[in-house]
Amino acid sequence: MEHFIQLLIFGVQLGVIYALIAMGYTMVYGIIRLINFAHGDLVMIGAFTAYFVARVPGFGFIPAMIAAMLVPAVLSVIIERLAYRPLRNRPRLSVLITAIGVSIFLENFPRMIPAIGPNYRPFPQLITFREFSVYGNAVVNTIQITNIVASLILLTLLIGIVKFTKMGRAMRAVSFNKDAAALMGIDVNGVIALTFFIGAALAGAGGVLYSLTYPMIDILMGVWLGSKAFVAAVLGGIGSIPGAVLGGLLMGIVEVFATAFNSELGYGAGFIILILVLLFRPEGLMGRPTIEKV
Amino acid sequence: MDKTGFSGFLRGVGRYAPLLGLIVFYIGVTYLREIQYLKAYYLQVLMFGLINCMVTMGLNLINGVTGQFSIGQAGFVAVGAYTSAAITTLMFQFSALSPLARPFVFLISILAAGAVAGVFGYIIGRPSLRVKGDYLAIVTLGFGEIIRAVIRLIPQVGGPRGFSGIPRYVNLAWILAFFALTIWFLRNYIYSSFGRACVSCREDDLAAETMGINTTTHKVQAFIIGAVTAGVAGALLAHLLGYLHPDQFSYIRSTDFLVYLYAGGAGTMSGAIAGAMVLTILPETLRFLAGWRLVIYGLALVLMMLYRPNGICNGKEFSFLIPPLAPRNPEEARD
Repeated sequence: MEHFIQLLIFGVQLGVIYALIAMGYTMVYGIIRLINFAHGDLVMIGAFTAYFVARVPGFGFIPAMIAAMLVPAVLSVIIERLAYRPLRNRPRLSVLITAIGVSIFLENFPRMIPAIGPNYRPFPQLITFREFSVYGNAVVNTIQITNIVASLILLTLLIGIVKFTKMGRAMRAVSFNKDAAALMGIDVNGVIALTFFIGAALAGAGGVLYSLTYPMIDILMGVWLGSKAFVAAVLGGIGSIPGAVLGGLLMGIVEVFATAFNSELGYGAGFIILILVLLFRPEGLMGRPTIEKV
Repeated sequence: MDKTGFSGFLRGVGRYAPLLGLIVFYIGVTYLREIQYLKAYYLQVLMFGLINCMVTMGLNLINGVTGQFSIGQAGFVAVGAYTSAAITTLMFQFSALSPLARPFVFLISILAAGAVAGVFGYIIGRPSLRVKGDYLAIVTLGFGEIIRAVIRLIPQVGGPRGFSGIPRYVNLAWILAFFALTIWFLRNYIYSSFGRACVSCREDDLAAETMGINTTTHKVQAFIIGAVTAGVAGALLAHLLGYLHPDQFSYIRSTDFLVYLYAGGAGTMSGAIAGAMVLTILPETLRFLAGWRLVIYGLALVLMMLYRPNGICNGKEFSFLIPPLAPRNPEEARD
């Protein structure tokens, strides 16, 4: 039981990070039906931003976090403007290939900058490490608490924005029907840019939280983190915001338990669940089934 | 069509011109290699290029012609590579096996690789065609990753350490032979009634179904053929490298094949070949730029999608990739 609770804590800690990153995939997909392959790399950009900001004396966790959210967000808006927007009316596959191109660029450009480079770097310890006992030998530490609390705040904030603000309503309208939304006077381009902004900000935050837990960062960290978060988004039903949270948590917990069982199994486990879910419920756990019309 | 006299003779020769061209190409390359003009490294790059062409042509049948979106092609390559490598590594150890029998063992291992990959293609293709579009893409992506995870669990093929000691048996002749076979088969398939049925699935599968085409059968068929092609290419790759590692077949590798296809121009064999060749050779020629080459590669991909969305070949087909009796323009066949 102690072991179970301990693993559950690890799982939830990882799961909330997946949920944060999955949010960007799901929002972008929901609004322009694009699998944004470059999203994972924004996680890495966020982690590196925090790495550099945290070295400035006097800057702690909060400033690093804010910077790590702003830099990828602005970058993401620029990418959307330059690479995705001109292709919006082309076949969706060309946008996808463009996204792959952007992703290759984002992984290799920082590698060539001497300040970043290809090597692993130790991430500074921004949170004082302390452990609290919860149940027998099962412990929870300050990093885990920070992860979970910060993620919950950000996710609540996001759901608040989407559900209750004017901008959020515009976002939902655009994802429902872009043309009709434009006819109603919604600035579709603005809304899409905002979606990219928010998604990337959450990805940056996810990157910082992940680096707190596993304090080694490198330029390819976003690739695997991104692909797992993407699976989480699909698992929950891509395009659905509660789905991304559920998928992220499920993915994190399953991965931790499977890894405890066999270290090689951990990686494949998420995908096996994904395929089972897709075969029996193709729209994902919380997705809306699409109706095909002639 | 005049089939007699000198023009008929020329037409008859013209039919075999691609094959003759290939033989001349082989002799030329071998000669240049013999006189040390061509470095072994360039030959290696050429062979990688041809193998990539094969995988991309198979992918073209699934993605470009049938319009299904598979992004797990590296998984099929992995299945083929590991199957054939396991067979040859095991068989070549026997001292009783005479060296003369080796080409046959190798050939059988390639065929086995194709067959096993085809079976996987069926297993993946049959149920996953219930899901469409992006979801199909994700299932195939997941499949590729699961294959990788499973390979890591099998200690007999090296597991996470990688599979080493594979006989480096392959040479340009083997690769060119299978390359030509792939072109010949896929070309004739695409222009057959099966191929046209596949195109109709791409254009509108509801309409195709109404016209009496069994779309599921054709999609599964395309999936299997694509998988077999990838498996055979994988077998060749394994014996070219002599070493396999599960991480070589990650989804990054799958996206490479996708990039080859869409950069060349999806839907045409010429596009698949040109894309795979150019993009295999380009990073090698840019090697003097060291790490910057991948930066340029990424930028070039984005710029090409923005300014030349139909790929290098712009949707056109080389004439030798159209069967002699097929209509020159595939659009005519559809009317």
